[in-house]
Amino acid sequence: MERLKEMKVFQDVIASSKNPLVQQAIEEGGVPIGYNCCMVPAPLLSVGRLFPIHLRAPEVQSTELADFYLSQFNCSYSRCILQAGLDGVYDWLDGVVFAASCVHTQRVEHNLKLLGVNGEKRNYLSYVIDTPRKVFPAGMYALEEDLRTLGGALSEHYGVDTSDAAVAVAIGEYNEFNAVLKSIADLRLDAHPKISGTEWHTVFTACQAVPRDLLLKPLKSLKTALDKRDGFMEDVPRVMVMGSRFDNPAFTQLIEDQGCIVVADRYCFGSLPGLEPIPEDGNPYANLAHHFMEHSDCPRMIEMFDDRIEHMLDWAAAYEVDGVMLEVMKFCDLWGWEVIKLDKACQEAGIPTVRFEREYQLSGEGQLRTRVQAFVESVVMKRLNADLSLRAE
Amino acid sequence: MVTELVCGCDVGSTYGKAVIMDSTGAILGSSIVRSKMDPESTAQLAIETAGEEVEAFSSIGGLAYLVGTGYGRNYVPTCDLNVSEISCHAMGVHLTNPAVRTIIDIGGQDIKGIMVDGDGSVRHFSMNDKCAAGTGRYFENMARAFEMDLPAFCELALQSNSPTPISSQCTVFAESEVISLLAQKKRPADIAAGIQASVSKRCYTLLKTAGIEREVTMAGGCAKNRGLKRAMDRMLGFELVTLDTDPQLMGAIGACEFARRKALASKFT
Repeated sequence: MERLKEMKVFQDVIASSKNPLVQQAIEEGGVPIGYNCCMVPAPLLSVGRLFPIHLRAPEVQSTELADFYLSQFNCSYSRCILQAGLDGVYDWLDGVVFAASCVHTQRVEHNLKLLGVNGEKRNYLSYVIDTPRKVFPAGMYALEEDLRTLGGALSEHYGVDTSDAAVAVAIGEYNEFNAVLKSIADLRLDAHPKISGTEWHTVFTACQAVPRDLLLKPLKSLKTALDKRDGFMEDVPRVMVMGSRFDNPAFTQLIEDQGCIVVADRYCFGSLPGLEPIPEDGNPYANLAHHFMEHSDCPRMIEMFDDRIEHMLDWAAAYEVDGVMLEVMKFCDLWGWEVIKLDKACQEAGIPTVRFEREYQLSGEGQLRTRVQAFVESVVMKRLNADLSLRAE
Repeated sequence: MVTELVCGCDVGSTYGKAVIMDSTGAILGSSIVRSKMDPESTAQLAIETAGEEVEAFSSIGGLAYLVGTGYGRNYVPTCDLNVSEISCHAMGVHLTNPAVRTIIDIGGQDIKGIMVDGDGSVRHFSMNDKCAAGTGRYFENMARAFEMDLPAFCELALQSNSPTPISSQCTVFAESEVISLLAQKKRPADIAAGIQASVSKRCYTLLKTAGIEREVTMAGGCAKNRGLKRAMDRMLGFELVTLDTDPQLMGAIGACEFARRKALASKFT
């Protein structure tokens, strides 16, 4: 497919945490708030002058200090984020909001606080949302109350309006942005997708790494360019990638370089599910609580396992995938278990799978390349053999 | 008549292997050479060494089709296609013994468990992570601790009926453990057998992940390690099938077969 100049802005912003658009927003009086997980309701961190930044660590190469404060048995994402904090990579943040989604990332918040990272800043907020592990009325009510407490803290620290009306406006803007994103995401459903997995991964990651209002125009321009572009015509396997936090498109590039196209992504930082609109009527805090709990498909949620399998099989059918790649970050407790069951479900459904373990930073590329290539080759050979037996019949 | 030659070249971390076939699939030449620092030079040396056995071979450029595999597969000069070593080992073993359904491939720096379908395609596979435990490199380190060459070390375990348990899997820690066991005057043959048993457990867990279906064989350079074969037989509870052709060549044979099929297909399309 032809290269699009409209991609450059997205590629530029994911190269570093403090990218040009973040700098611009800060210079214009914006207040950046970091968050750890897709269960944190980003619209609440978008009210008034606030803008949310999904914490990444593209700058971090090694994690000696973080290994000391955490342990080498914490996932490398947690260690990289703590290391980034200790290295001063995030010294421009005015606060952090963590969801108590997994123990590893929660420990990062504790350590950042204990070690006084950004602690010298007046009004620096460090907040942990007590996210329930299942969706039930009392839990959802408690979460709504917790979000209201967070809203109060944001208002107190930054002087922003977190009233129901202000949060409803933020939800509306969030939905407007996501509608454009979804129109791009849906191009991947086509038999000849107009956007590669690597490009999509870049765009989606960028949208969580900058103030969204500054990306809306480039996003619309990209959609216009994509609409004019010819789709991907090569007859290569279509794959879905599922698993732990995956915010480096170089991984997707490596996967696609082995002769396949990634058409669907269900991982932390991924786009399935989550692009559905948040209800704009009624109680906005309750809407946020329900949306971010019910549209995460996170393996931390109990009593929703069958739903997650069903969603996976639905996506596999909708995106017409030839195989599923299950990736787990080393020491990720949640996905470590989840992929075993997902793998079994895929096998029962006749969907080829491959499982691989990786670190947060791109490393061990040779082995990863071999695994992915062998998987793609086996899918291609199975397709060829199936075609031959069909012809023989 | 000019014989059309195809070649498969498996550039591994410790050895480069090459196989040359004619269009009927007959193996005309093969080679196993020690890897150089640069994979391109390894590939060139391996192919030219195999070519010395083939009368019709003139140069790498004269091959009808060349497939590269192994960790250095992207660096094989004038390569037409690269195929992963997992697919190539599956195909190589399938050609050598079509009854085999499970392969444990132990190379210089990794171990793979591969389940093969009846057509030589890969059904499942598993692979070790970034760790040299149980690989060819591991055995080389162990042989060094015993101050022996590798073949002699591999045979040593056959003299033991009472393996000394080795608890460390890590290449570095296992070497330290072995040195202290030797210092304690434990029987070297028993320690060597303990090392082989420890590796066989690691291989077994990888095989369990990929699936075990008989017949089972070992491929890769370490398949020549008789001490390991005995430990694997014990671990599995049945005997591994021994391949008629050098097991270290399986990746190159598979690559060569892919080259042959590609060359034939290109004639008819």
